[in-house]
Formats: sequence, structure tokens, C-alpha cells
Amino acid sequence: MTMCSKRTATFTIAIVVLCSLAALGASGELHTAVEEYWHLIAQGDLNGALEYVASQSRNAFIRKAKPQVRSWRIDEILPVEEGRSEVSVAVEAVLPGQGLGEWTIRESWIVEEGRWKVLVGDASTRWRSVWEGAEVKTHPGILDVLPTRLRIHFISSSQASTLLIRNGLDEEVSVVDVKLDGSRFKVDSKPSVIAAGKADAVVVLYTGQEFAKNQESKIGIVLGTTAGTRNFSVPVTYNYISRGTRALLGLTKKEAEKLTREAALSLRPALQIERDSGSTGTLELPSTKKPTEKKPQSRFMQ
Amino acid sequence: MMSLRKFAVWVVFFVLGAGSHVLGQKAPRDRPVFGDASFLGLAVTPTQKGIFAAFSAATCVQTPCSSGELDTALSISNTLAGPPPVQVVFDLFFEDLEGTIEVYIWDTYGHMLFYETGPGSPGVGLVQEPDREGFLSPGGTWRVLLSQILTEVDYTQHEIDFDHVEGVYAGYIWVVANFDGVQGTTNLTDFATFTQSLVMQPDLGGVFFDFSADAGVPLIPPEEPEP
Repeated sequence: MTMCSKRTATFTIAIVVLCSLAALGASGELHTAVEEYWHLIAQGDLNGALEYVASQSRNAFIRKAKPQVRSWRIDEILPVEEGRSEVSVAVEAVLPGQGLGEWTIRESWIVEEGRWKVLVGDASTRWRSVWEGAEVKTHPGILDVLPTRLRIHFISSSQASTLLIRNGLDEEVSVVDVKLDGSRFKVDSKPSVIAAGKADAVVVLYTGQEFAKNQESKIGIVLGTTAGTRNFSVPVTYNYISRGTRALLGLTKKEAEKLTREAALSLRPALQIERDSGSTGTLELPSTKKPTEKKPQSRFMQ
Repeated sequence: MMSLRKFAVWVVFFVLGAGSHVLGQKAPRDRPVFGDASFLGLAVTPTQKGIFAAFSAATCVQTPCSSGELDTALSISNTLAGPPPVQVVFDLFFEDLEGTIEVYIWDTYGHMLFYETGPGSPGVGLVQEPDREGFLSPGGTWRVLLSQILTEVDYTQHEIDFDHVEGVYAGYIWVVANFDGVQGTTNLTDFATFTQSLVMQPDLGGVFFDFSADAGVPLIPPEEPEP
């Protein structure tokens, strides 16, 4: 028993030593790579430095402004995970328009094709994040389907609309069934399961050929949980024409009612602009823009 | 029940607003001007307001946007939030303080595309709560890339139909806000070396006391023609 324990301890120590040596070796390789990279940057040999840039960020490296580096030193190498480390480099450089200064640059280095290479940050990714979507939030303990009323606009070229399932439960939810009027609608895409705390979309298409406006229907969604199935029913207004659409495209109610799909494709903005009538203090539409005048109705109407 | 303080503020604004309107009548404009109509109109709650972007483009529709691709970053703001005295005016005189946003896109082939914000809309800044799905609240800004909207409306399908250059869109945009004050900008950009920023028209202007803090053209559907 003692003999066995002794052997196990020796084996463990050997493994730890080997791992440490391997890590030191990897760290040494990284240190050398960082040194060579910054040496080439300081020399102005950008082609040479490009050899140390990870393939996915080469364009970012090429686009990035290159300071005139006077001196540099490695401050810290911090392993994050296997094959990835964070490196801090203090750089003294002349930046165009800013003059001489010292900055600490933090870089991610990764192993690519057996060599350490730097990931050059792309400002465009951060900039894009100002406009690109945040994840839909769920409410803890609540499983719901949005919207409370689905609208499929008549003038929408895709005729698609989205039902969002928000799973705030602690468990995965399965989308068991989507019940709809098959003669008018079809499911374009739906997830099979929605992970706990996540949201996902069921996309429904209107495939009918009617042009009667503001029609009503219903879509049912059956979701499966460990406690059983839960049914959600969402009223649908299809061939919907909004007030904004009528105002922007200059359609009276009757014109909107008669609008065909072909005509909808070639509609143009024809908004009415209010004017201040001055003396009366009230607003009226300019007479030259009343909908009855100069309106090519026949082109748009069936 | 309106407090005495709120009532006093309301009275001050009413007097200032009425006075401003009277002063405005002393120098009547002889013709309607696009900007003036929206800034000086008293019908402050038409429910819909429209703003116009003269040009927009995207070169990465339904394809991953790599560096160097052109896109249009849209920022649409609901301007109906302000410091307390101004907010009182908004609350009193505007009925539609928040709502969805409708985007009408015309490409250079004259083909109209339509998108309305709703559940799961792309971009940042929209409300996603029951009965308020896709709403933009007062003071909020919906930030979205045009390529994301074009992907939602399946623009590439039309490219096939109309023999467009694959993944490339260019054209103009009307944004219709289903609330009473909207302002917008478009940034045509490659996110690296080039950006062209345009303010959507008509933009915010005038003075608050003319009850015209709301940018955009008031949109009112036409009436049926008289028989």
C-alpha cells in the first residue's frame, strides 16, 4: 500500500514537472514571438511583422495606423487558456498628431499552425456593436410569446412575420407544434428547442392570394415543458395596411381597400404636408395636393 | 389630479405658446415650406411622423459583412422626452408618446420594401414587452444596420427577380414613426476608413415654445374625395 502511494506520488510529481516545463517552453516561445514582432514593428518592417499576425486579423493590421515606435518592453504575459495568452507591452512611440507618448498595449496571442500569432483588434467590430443587436431578454420564470397581436402587412414584400418565444424558465422548452390555417399561412422556420433563459423566433409566412385588407386569423403555438404542454394563441391581422402606410403613400381608405399586390410594388411616397393657413391659425391641406387631383389612380387600382 | 405646481407650469407654457403663435401670425409666410410645415404646425399629435433619408446603401445583404463592406447605420430617436418643464408640455399636448417604427425603402430600381419593428427586431434600443413589442420609448434611439433590415425583408429574393448585383442595395428611405416626435441620422460607412453622415429630413428645429420640438413631417392619410 505504502509502496503504491509512493509510486503514485512520484508519477504525479513527474507529470506536474513535465507540464510546467512544457508551459515554460510555450511561454518562452510566446515571449520570443512577441519580442520578434515588436522588434520588426520598431524597425518598420511591416511585411516581416505581418508573419506574426493571425490570419483572421491581417486586414485589420494592414489598415491600422502605425506609430513610430521608439522603444518597447513586455510588461506581462498572462495565459488565458491553452493556446491563448494576453500580453501587455509598454510602448513609447510618436503618434501622428499627438506627438511622443507612452502607452500600454494589451494584445491577445493565439497559437495558429503551431506558432504564436497576435490578434490585432479591429475598431470596426467595436463600432459595429453600437448598431448591432443585443440579445433579447427573458424574464425569470416566465414563458411567453410575443407579439400579443401579429400583423402581416399587405405591402410587405416578404409577407413574413415573427413570433418570438421567450423562455425565462430554468429548463429547455420544445416547440411541439405551430397550429395555423394551412390555406393561408406556412411556417418558414422554427426552432425545435429553446434553451433556458433564451429566446428564439418562429417565422410565419402569409401564402394566400387574397387582397381583402385587414383580415383576421389565429396562430397557436404549443410548447413542451417538463410539467406538460402549454398553449399560446396569437391573433393575426393579415393584409394589414397601417395608417402610416396610407399617409405616406397617399391612399384613401377606399384606395387602400382596392390596392392590388402588383400595384403595391410600384407605389411611391405621396405624402400630404400640412401648412399653416396663417390668418385662421388652423391647418389645412394645400389644395394642389388633394388626393383627387393628378393622381394616377388607374395604375394602382384593380 | 394635477398639482398646483404642474398647473402653474402648464399655464406658463400655454401663455408662451399662445404668444409665440400670435407673434408668428404677424409675419405670415406666403408659401408653405417643407421644414416650416412640420415645425410650426400646431397639430402636434398626428400619430405618425415621417423622416426622409436621401441616400442609403449596403453591400453585404444576407452575407457576412467583412471589413471594407459598405453599410448604412440608422439611428432613429424618439424626441418626446425632455427635462421636467418640457416633459410637461409633451405629456399635455402629445397623445402618442411611443410606438413602432415603419421603414419604407425604395431601391434604385424603384422597388419598395417595407419593414415594421416588432418582436425580435434587429438592432438595439427597442422595447420588447407585451403590447409594446418593437416600440421606441421617449428618449430612446433605435440603432440598426440597414443590411439587417434588408436581410429581414429578404432583399436578395428581389435581387434575383430584378437581376440586381448580388448583395448590393442602394436607394432612399422614408421612416414613419408611430409616435409624435422623431429624429434620425444615417451613417453610410465601411466601419474602417469611410463614413458619410446624413441627418434625416426634416430634422429637429424651431423652438419648444412653438410646441414644435417634434421633428418630422406630420403624416395624415388623405380623406376620400368629395362626390
